[in-house]
Order: sequence, then C-alpha cells, then structure tokens
Amino acid sequence: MSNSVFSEDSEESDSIALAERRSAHFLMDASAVSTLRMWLLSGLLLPLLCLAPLLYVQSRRLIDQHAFWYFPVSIAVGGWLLFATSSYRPASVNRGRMAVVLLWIGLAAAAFGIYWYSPWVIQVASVIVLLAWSLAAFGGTSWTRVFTICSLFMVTVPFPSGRDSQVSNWLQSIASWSCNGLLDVIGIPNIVEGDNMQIAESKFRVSVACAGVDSVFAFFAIGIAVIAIRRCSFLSGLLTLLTIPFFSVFENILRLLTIAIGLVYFKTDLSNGWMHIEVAVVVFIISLLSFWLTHKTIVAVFEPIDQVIDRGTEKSGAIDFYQMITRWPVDVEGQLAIGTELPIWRPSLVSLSGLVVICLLFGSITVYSAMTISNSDVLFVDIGEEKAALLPSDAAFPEQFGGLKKVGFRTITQPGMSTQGKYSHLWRFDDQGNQVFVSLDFPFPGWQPIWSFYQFNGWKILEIKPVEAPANSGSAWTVEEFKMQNQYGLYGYVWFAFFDENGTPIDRRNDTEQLSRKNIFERLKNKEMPATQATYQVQVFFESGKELSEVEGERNRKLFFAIFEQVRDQSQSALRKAK
Amino acid sequence: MFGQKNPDPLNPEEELDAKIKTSWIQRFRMSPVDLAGEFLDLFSCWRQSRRWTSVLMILPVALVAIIMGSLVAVGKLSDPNAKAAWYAERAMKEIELAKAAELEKATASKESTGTASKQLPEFVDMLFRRVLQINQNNKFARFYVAAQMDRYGSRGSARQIMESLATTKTTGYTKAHTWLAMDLVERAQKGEAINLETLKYHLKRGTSGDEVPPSLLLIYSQLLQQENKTAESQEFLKRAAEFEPKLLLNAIAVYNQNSLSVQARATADMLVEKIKNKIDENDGENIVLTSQALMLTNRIDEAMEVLQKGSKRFPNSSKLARELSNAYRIKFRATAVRLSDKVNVNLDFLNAAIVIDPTNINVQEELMLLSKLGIWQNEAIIDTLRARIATTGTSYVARLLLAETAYGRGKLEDAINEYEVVLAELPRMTLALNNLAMMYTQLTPPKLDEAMSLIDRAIEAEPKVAEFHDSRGDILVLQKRKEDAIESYLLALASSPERVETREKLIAVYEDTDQKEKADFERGRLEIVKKALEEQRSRAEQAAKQREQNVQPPPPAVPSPKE
Repeated sequence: MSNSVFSEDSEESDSIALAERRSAHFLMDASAVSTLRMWLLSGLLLPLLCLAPLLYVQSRRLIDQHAFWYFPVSIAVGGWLLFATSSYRPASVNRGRMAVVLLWIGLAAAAFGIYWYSPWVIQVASVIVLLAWSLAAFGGTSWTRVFTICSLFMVTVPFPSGRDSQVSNWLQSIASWSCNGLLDVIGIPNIVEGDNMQIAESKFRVSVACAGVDSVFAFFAIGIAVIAIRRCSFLSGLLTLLTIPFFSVFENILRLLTIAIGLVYFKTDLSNGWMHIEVAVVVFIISLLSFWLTHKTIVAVFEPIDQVIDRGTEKSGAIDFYQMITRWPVDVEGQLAIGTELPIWRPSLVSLSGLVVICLLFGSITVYSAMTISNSDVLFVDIGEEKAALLPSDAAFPEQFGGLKKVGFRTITQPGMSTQGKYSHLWRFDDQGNQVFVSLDFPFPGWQPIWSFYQFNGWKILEIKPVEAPANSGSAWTVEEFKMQNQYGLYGYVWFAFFDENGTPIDRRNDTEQLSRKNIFERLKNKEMPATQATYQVQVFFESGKELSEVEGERNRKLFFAIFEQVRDQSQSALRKAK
Repeated sequence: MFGQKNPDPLNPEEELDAKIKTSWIQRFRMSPVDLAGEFLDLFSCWRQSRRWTSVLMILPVALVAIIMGSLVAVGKLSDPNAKAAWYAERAMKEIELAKAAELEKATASKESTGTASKQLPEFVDMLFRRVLQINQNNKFARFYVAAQMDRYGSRGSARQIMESLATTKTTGYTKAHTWLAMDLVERAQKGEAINLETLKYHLKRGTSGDEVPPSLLLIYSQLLQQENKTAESQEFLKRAAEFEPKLLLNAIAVYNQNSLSVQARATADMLVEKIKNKIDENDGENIVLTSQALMLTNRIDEAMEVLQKGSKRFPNSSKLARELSNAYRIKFRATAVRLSDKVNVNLDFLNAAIVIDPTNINVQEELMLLSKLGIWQNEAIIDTLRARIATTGTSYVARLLLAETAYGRGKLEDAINEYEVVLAELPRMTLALNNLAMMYTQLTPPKLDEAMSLIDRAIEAEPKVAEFHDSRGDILVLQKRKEDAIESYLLALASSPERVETREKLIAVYEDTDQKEKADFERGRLEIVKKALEEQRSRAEQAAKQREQNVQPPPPAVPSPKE
C-alpha cells in the first residue's frame, strides 16, 4: 500500500521521509544549498528577528490568557514536524513565486501591525512569513502538508476582537444548557443563570468549573498535530477536526456532571481546589481518549480501498472517485517538481527587502519600547494595594445623595489579575426600594466594554446606546448606557465611563490602542516618556421591577453623571496625593 | 476538480489516470441501474477492505454520546408544565421540612411560632427560580422569587412584581395582596404617605388566605373598627388570636370602647381559658396575659391575686413585677373616691407599685395626677404627708410628692434632698433618677457630671424610655457635646417618634452645628408628626362624640365598669 495513511505505517513512512530528506540534502547542488541558506536568512530569520520585540509582547499577552497557554508546545511540535518530517530542498519556481508573494504580504502585514500598534497583527504576519518560508524551503513536501504543519502556528493566534472568548462562551453555554437538561432527567434539581450554576445549596461559576472550554483551541492544536503526524488524508483530517467542538462540549458536560454528582451524592465540592484540578485532568484524559478512538474510526472508515486490483475488473468511476478523495493530498507527496534556484535573489529585490527589514526593525523596536514604557505590552495593569486603598471609599458619598439613600459599602480585591479590574469599591444605595449599585473598578489598560459581565450573570442586553456627557464636564465625550432584562422580568440599567489618572474622561469612541499610539507619538515629540496611567471605571447599576419611563431614565442618567463627577473628583485628589 | 495535477508524459499509467479523471462526467453518465451497480461495487469493496476493529473503536464513545444526548434531549423536550410542577413540588416539600424543623427548634426552646419561617434555605429559593425559568406564569413562583428579592434588599423591584400579581383592578394572587398590604403598613410605619383605600383593598383580598400574619389581621380589624364594623373586626381579631392569644386583649379593648362589656368579659374568659393549661410557661408571660384580661374587664383583685401568685412562682420576672406594679397603680386609681370638693386616695397602693417595680416610669402619671389635684397648694396635705413619713418612714410616694411640691415652690435644694433620700433606699428608681438629674442641671453651678451619672443609671435600668434619652441629650447640650446630644435625641425619637419637643431640640442642635440639610429634614418630619397628631386628636374626638351618640344601656345582669 503506497502512501499509507494508517498508523501502522506512519513510523515507516516518517523514516523513509527522513532518509529521503537527508539524501536529497546531500544530493542538492551547491547553488540549491546556497539558495536555501539565503532564503532561511532573508525569508525567515531576519523578518522574525525584526518582529521579535513585538512577538515577545504578544507572547506575554498569550501567557495572560489561559486558553492559549499551549502555544509554546504547539510551536515546538510544528517546528519539529517541519524539520524532522519534511523534505528540505528548494521548491519549484511557481511555488517559490507564491512564497515570495506570501512573504511580501507577511511583511506588509507586519508594517501594518507596527503602524496599528498591534502585536496581534505582528503574530499573524509572523505566521504568514513562516508559511511563506516553509513553502519555498520544503520543496520536497506537498504544499498541503506544509500548510497543515503551519496550522500548528496559526492555531496559536487568538481570534480578533475577543472572538475566541465568544467561541468559548458559546461552547460553554451549550455545555451548561445540556447539563441542565441532563441533571433534570436524573433528578438533580439545578438552575443555570448565565454563568452561574446552582445545585442544592451550592453555587459555582460555570466558567471556572468548566475552564475546560478554553481547551477547545488546545484540542484543535492536538488534532492538527495528530493529523500531521499520521499524514491523514484531507477528508479524514477535516472530519477529525470537526469532531473537536463536540469533544470540548462533551468534556465540559462531563465535568459539570461530576461536580453535580460530587455535591449531591458525596457532599464533596469538586468545583475548586486540588480536587477540581484532578477531576479536570481525568476528564481531559477521557476526552482525549474518546477523541483518539473517534479519530481512529474516521481514518478506518475513510481509508482507500486496497482490494480493487484483486477483483480483476476495470476500475469503476465510483471507486476511482472514492480512492481519489480518500487519498488526497497524500498521493501528491514525492511527485513534486523541485527547483534549484528561487527567483528572489536579484540584487534589486535583495536591496528592497533589506530596506524593508531595517524599517521594520526600527519600527518594531520603537513600538516595543513605547509599549513597554507605557505598560501597554500587557493586558492587565496593577497599581498596587497601597494606592488602591487611597481611592474613594465609604465616606465618598453622604448618607443621602441625589435622592438615593446609602445602605452599604464594601471593597473587593480579586486574587489575580482580572478583566473586570483587580479592585472594586462598591457602594449600595436604596432608591425608593430599588437597589442601586455604584462601583469604582480599577485598574484597566484603557476603555473596555463591560456588558459581557452582566451577560455572564444571566442578563439579556436589550439595548446599548452612547450618551453624550453634559457640556459642563469638559471636552465632549460619551458614555455607554445599556438596558437589560433577566429571566424573572427584572430590568437593569447600567451607565459606565472611564477616566485616567489625571481625571480626564476617556471617550468610548477612542479605543485603548489608538489612544496609546497617539500618546506615544506625542511623548516622542515632546521627549517625555512617562508611564501610561491605568484607567478607572465608574459604573452605576439601577435595578427596577418595571421598564423605566423616559423621564425616569433621564433622572438616572443625570444621577450617573453626578456620581461620576463625585467619584472622579475624589479619585483625582487621592491619586494626586499618591503621586 | 481538486487533486488534479499535470500528468507526467513519461508515465503511461499516470496518463491513463489523467484521461480517466478528465472525463468524470462522462464516466458517471450512465443508467441509474448501472450507477447503482457502481455504488454497490464500491460498497462491496469498501466493506471487504475495512479493518473492522478500528471502525468499531468508536462504539464506546458513541454509546456514551447516545446515552448522554438522549438524556439531554429527554430533559429538554419533556413537558415544561410537568417539569415546573416537579420543581414546585420539591420546593413545597422543602418548605414543609423547613417549617417542621423550625417548629421542632421552637418547641425545644419553648418559643411559640405562628408563622412560616422567614429564612428558608437557599435551595428553596433556587427551586422557585427554576420553576419560574420553566414557566414564567407560575404565580406562586413569581411571588416567592419577589419575596426573596425583598429579603435580599430589592424591596422596590419585589413590590413591582407583586403589583403585577395583584393589581388594584382585579382580584389577583392572594399572597401577593397580603404582601402588598404588609408593605403598605411598613411604609406607613416609616412615616411614608400611603393610600388608605389601597391598603384596605389589599387587606380585604389578602386576609382571605390561610397564612396571614396575625399583625395584619389585627390592623385590618382595627381599620374595620374605625368604620364601625365591629362584628367583622372582632372576627379578624379572633383569627389573629388563633396564632397569638394576646391579640384577644385588643378585642377586649375594642369591646370596652364600644361599651360591650358582656362580650369583653366573655372574650377575656376565652383568653384565660385558652392559656389556663399553659399558665406556668413562657416565664410568667401567660400569667401577665391572664392578669391583663382580668384587669381589662374590671377584675383587678382577681388580677392582683394571679400576679401575686405568679411573682412567687417567678420571683425574677421583671415583666410580672411591672404588671403587678401596674395593677397596684390601677387599684390606686380605683380606690380614689371623690367627696364633694375632696378626693380620698389610698397612697399605699401607689407606694406598693413603686416598691415592687422602682423602674416603672408609668408611676409618673399617678404622681402628675396628684400634682394636678393641687397637692402643693394645700399645707394640710403637706403636713399629712410629712406626718406619714414620720410614722411609716418608707412612704416613697409621700417623698416624691414633697419633692414635687418643693420644686413647684422653687425650693430646689429641698426637692433634691427628697429625691436623694428616695434614691438612697431605691437606687434603681428611674423616675427619681431622671428628675434628680434634671434638677442637678438647674443648680448654680450645674452638677453636670453627677446628672450624667444619674441619667446613665436610669438608661441602664430602662434603655427604651425616650424620656431618659431626651434628658441625656439636654445634659450633653449643656456639656457642649452636641454631636453626642444629637445621638441621644435620635435615640429618644427612635423610641417615640411623636415627641415634638425632642424633635425641636434636635433641630436646634442641628442648626447650631451647621447641619442645615438635616435640620430641614427634621423640620419636615416635625410638620408631618404635628399633622398626624392633630389628625389623631380630631379622630379621637370624633370617635368619642360618635360613641356618646351610639351608647347603649348595659345589660342589667353585669355591672358597668363606671359603677
């Protein structure tokens, strides 16, 4: 059986590929070797070296996100697969041209990333550069395989605009929804409210208990690695990857079910602590095993037919078609045109790419320095507990404020860094029987939306609209106002706004990175590089049993601006004192 | 077509393949029977070439997935009403269990409970929320969730949900009517203006349920009484008394107000009978109830006998001591005999009232009554009092009256001496402590520290008496401790919000300390209080007039209390 896709033959085929690769390397003429060296230097090492500062920033951001902790392993496995199982020799002229075009696209993306101040774009650009280099440098390996291996690098790139979190949340909601029905059937009373699940008298956050949904991307990396190592056909590989969301959900249903059974029947809380980690590991192993068994079945079902020749009949169209789709792209291996010289080494092109690379290097280092100085190289900022303690507390509001009666105050400090701010100063007011919460949350690295927090707590966002701040609060700026409703018919109205350490309100229309870039250029121009301040968020939540009228809404809006001014003024003086 | 590549002309096999691949459409252009045959061939080859061990590896995973999927599907597709009913049933069961547990706890601690537990487990809360999640129209679940919201501090939102369950247009959910009535009562107690008609509406519908708080039944009965619907009023009172027998005392009072002494006596007997077997329970509480029922029906001697026996059984019961002291006060009043221009009183009863409970501030009323009779203007009476002290030596009433007389005549030192003598023998006599403290403040120079020490002793003995906190506030003002004085005045007003003088003093201190916002707030409250008192007074006058018009002759068999 040639070009086997089966596990029994994969070791054999790997060793053959390795032997071929080595012999090809020795058989390559001097010009091909020189071409490859030059290509390695200019097509990979130099661009990556130039982008290294910002790639470092991006790697720190990835470390801050639990869902992407697998990225070093994924990159290492990808690298190993490229160098250990692929044929390192110049590609055909057409493929080389394609690689050069891709390289330029990658470099353009890098330039755009530097301009746009985005380490994420730099990561995307680096993956494109790597793909371009691989396509031309591993000429003895099919482009599909190169592409598959490079997918291991691509899978480390988070989705833009937090879409990866949305995917995780969506899968998580499917898991909790399914578990809800499952527990009903087995007679365990339960309730799911947003991100909260309650069983008997124990309540836990699904996102914490089921952090496994984050593993969906790691699962994809594992899937791609399996496909690449086992040299699966496109069809088998695609079907294998399509099962991953199912296993991710399956894993989390299993975790929630285990936690529920532990609580109800064994009075053991498995939703946190070491027991939780042990459960997570066991469930992950079970899911991986299930995934592996499923993958084996998919491959066995869609392996090519090896008994056609024995029939001694003419091949039928259906069998040919089946053979073709189950073999592609493995058949392509070993039938590739091999080039000896890539078409990029003309002096003019070399000079141009050198210039681009130097520009990128300069830009990259500049932006990295600016980002590091301005703290924007990280997703989270911290101001320290001492400074946090200086910010407005209980005394910030009198017993009566704008018709609200103060009924309580407390501070909350998250144990680690949090996207909702590490520190929260929370005042509770009574508004003629309705609760009003005023919260000063900090620190944040700029402006960011907060409605996902409410969605996580079971609220449905009905309307989000920007509101112009009153003219007396300095330059024109807008805040966000949103209306929500929960499943019990209760309405919630939230206003929130950010201000920086100078007390300047942050306009929602300017996102963090645009602000930072603008600031950095200004600072460079003025030769002053103070650290970018953290931002502080004031949010006011009004609860109501009925939908508010326009008049009531206007009253609450005014109240929000009064509260914002009060908190901002007091914070400003506290921060000045801290300086 | 994907997978196509340029054929190698040197490889005939590949060339053949290429030819075949370029004519896919032609190759499949055949009759359906032939096409089916091709696919059968494919299936046959496919089946023969499979490694079935590998294919069947998915079985355990598929089995688990099918079981889980089926369970999820059953859970999600099952009848929502049945599911909601199952959750509601669980919730009700949990409520019953919680009630039983509370009852057991209460029985163990010998405390009576008439209403359901207010602190049900969080689990019940969860069950009702789930019922509501499944079926938004489940009234009981909506009611329960709203009640829980109230418990967690969202009274306004809870109210809005309750109002949707029990509108003022149609009869809604009974429990929601009860809740809204309670809410209106609480708001009224906080001084908020409420619509009385709305309260009556919710009370009428809310009290038709089974689990109505006795306090609400009592309020409704009082409102009905105001409308002269005595029979209905009494019915609700008796319902309330099922849970709290002491509420029958209110029923007796209402009968008395309406001169229905037969009914009053019958109700009192009912109460006595009800608690007869439990007379030794509750640290003498039931003895107090019995005595009150007897006293309200003019059987003072019987009441005193019951109380005296009770005092022997529970010598440390302060409630019994207070009740006995009050009984002596009533006896004192009952023995007062008016003879033309004179009034004969037996001071021994009042003296006994003081000795039994020196902390009873109500004795002040009798002393004021005696003062009003003009004791200090009559030298003969003063001499009689002095003689009485000389002979008996322990007449505290005589000393207190002499002190008041001396004070009335401007002889502060003499008054102080009398109070000091009383306090030497009865150091916990709160009335003397308070009066002496106030006299110390009037000395030149004032003895403020001593006054403070005295008033603190009075407050220690009777912490809830507004009068003492008011006096303490006055002393603190003199000591220039205005913030502390504010605190004392607020404590006095917390006990008796209707104290106009205290509120006026509080306003003055707020103004002195530049707290104008608070002063204005209190001024607003003062107006409300004054208005309410005025209304109360006019209502009382109106009611008195009406009673006079509607007065019925008492039945001849039972003597009227006036006789």
